[in-house]
Amino acid sequence: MPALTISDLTKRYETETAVEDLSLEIETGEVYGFLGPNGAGKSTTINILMDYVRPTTGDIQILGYDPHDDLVDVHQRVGILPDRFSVYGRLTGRQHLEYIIDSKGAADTPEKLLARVGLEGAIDQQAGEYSRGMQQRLALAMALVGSPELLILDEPFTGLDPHGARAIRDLVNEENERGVTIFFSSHVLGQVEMICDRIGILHDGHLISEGRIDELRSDAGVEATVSFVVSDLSKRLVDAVDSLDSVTGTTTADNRIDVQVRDDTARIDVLATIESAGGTVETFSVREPSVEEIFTAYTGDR
Amino acid sequence: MRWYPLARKEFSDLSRSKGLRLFGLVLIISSYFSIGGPAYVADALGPNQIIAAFQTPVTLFAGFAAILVSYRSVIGECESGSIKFVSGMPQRRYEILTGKIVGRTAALCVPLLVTFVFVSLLGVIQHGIFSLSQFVLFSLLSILYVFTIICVGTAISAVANTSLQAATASFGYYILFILGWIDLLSYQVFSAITGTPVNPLEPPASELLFSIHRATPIGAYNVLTNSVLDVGNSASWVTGVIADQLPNITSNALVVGLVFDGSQSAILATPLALGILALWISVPLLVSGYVFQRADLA
Repeated sequence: MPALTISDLTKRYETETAVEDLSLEIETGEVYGFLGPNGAGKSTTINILMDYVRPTTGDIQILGYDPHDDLVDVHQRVGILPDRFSVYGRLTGRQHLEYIIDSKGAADTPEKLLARVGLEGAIDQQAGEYSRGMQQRLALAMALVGSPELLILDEPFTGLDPHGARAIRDLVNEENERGVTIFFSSHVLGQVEMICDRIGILHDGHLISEGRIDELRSDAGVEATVSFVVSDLSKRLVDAVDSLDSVTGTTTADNRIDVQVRDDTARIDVLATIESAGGTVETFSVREPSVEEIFTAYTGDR
Repeated sequence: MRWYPLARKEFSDLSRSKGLRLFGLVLIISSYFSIGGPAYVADALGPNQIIAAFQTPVTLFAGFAAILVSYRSVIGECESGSIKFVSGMPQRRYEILTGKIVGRTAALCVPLLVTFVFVSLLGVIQHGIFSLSQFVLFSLLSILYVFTIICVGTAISAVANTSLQAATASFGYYILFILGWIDLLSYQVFSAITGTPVNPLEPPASELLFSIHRATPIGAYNVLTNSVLDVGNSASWVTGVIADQLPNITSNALVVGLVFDGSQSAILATPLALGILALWISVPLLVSGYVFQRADLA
């Protein structure tokens, strides 16, 4: 059974359409990254999943439940790290977690939850004195209460330093190993690449592409760059490489030639061509297109 | 009882508010200095004048505090984003309203009851022992009054689109229906409906006028607390009610027994004031619950 199914979801406000005809399915145990620029409709979608906002049309099933009609069942099984939240400044981290633990009837302890996000030292400090990153960690600990079956993380890397981002990634991996399905939105694309099984790209309220990162990379037609350090780098050698069908461009610097190739297998052709042109490859490296480049390829000209 | 964890959280949060402590201090000072007053109050009530001293501070200051703690209770969280935690919990939206109202009422009742106990102890030293049963009844009615105003404030907060809207509506409600009602606006409303001006020193024997006078939470609370103090059936302040029944003093109090000579209809019966409070609790909550249930919270 899919953990999350969204069918033909549309949300219109008076003057704009935030999400239009969105359909997607996330399997149980999957880590799904929901990408898009600010204003693409990611948070609106998550707000609808959590029943903060009502859809104009469309159907949603979360763990087999309707998020509005079966709200109590859904919220009992889902952990949410919302975007643009505010903590209760007068309450301590412990009191925040006690509230969530009581609400869900969970057997967790604030100490263990805060230790998981590295906030155990600030457990009795008022949350109003927390930095933004600490508040983000507190909210993540709140999302983990009750061992949810589905974790929804809306822009989880916002306000985090590299250590905080690493902590989030580690937690996502831990929870995913426990069998938890994870759906998160982000525009911090470098982080997405490290933890997602699949990603969906949302732009102007439409899902414009979806799949595994390697599939999207291939579909987007974004080139990888292979860099060769060659002794005896000659113009004849460069011309020979340039003439290959699988090569879209070259640049040279000193004894290095950077070759833009259409796919990974092209590097073998390039290697053979260099050697047949009299060059000797000392080292080479491949740089795959980043998620950011894929994302730009999908959204840049829209 | 899915609302209970939220009520507990609201209580914990509000109890740490400096404003609530300031309110407690204001209530203690105003209540203490309300003890005594004219000699005829002491003559009529004896030691129970200590209980009577709480009537005006509760209606005006506790009523104001109730508005303060409730008018942003929902819209404030929508604006800050913390509503996403609350409404992400396994509870329905009406349970969110219930939790907020119960928790905030409980938090406000702490300084209220501390004031009652502390000022009463000071009063006992000066004026002797009062009736404990009347004190308990008076305290319960005061809690009910605060609860009613918090229901109204929370209802406004749940339907408002911005904090500014909520503030305008809530403080407008306070000025019209609490601060200005008993001695001014109730007469104006009656005059507007009937075309007959009201001279409160010689009020007409109109059930409509007396009904309007007690149609708000403050009017109903005064009727009920005056009844507990056994001074007469009136929505006016206890001091004026006592004065109006003395031969040589006139006051602007509207006292049923002095105007209707026992011939008034059942609509002015004292227990019906509980029904007025029930209406001020249920109608705003039903309307706001309907709107809040359908609202986008983010």
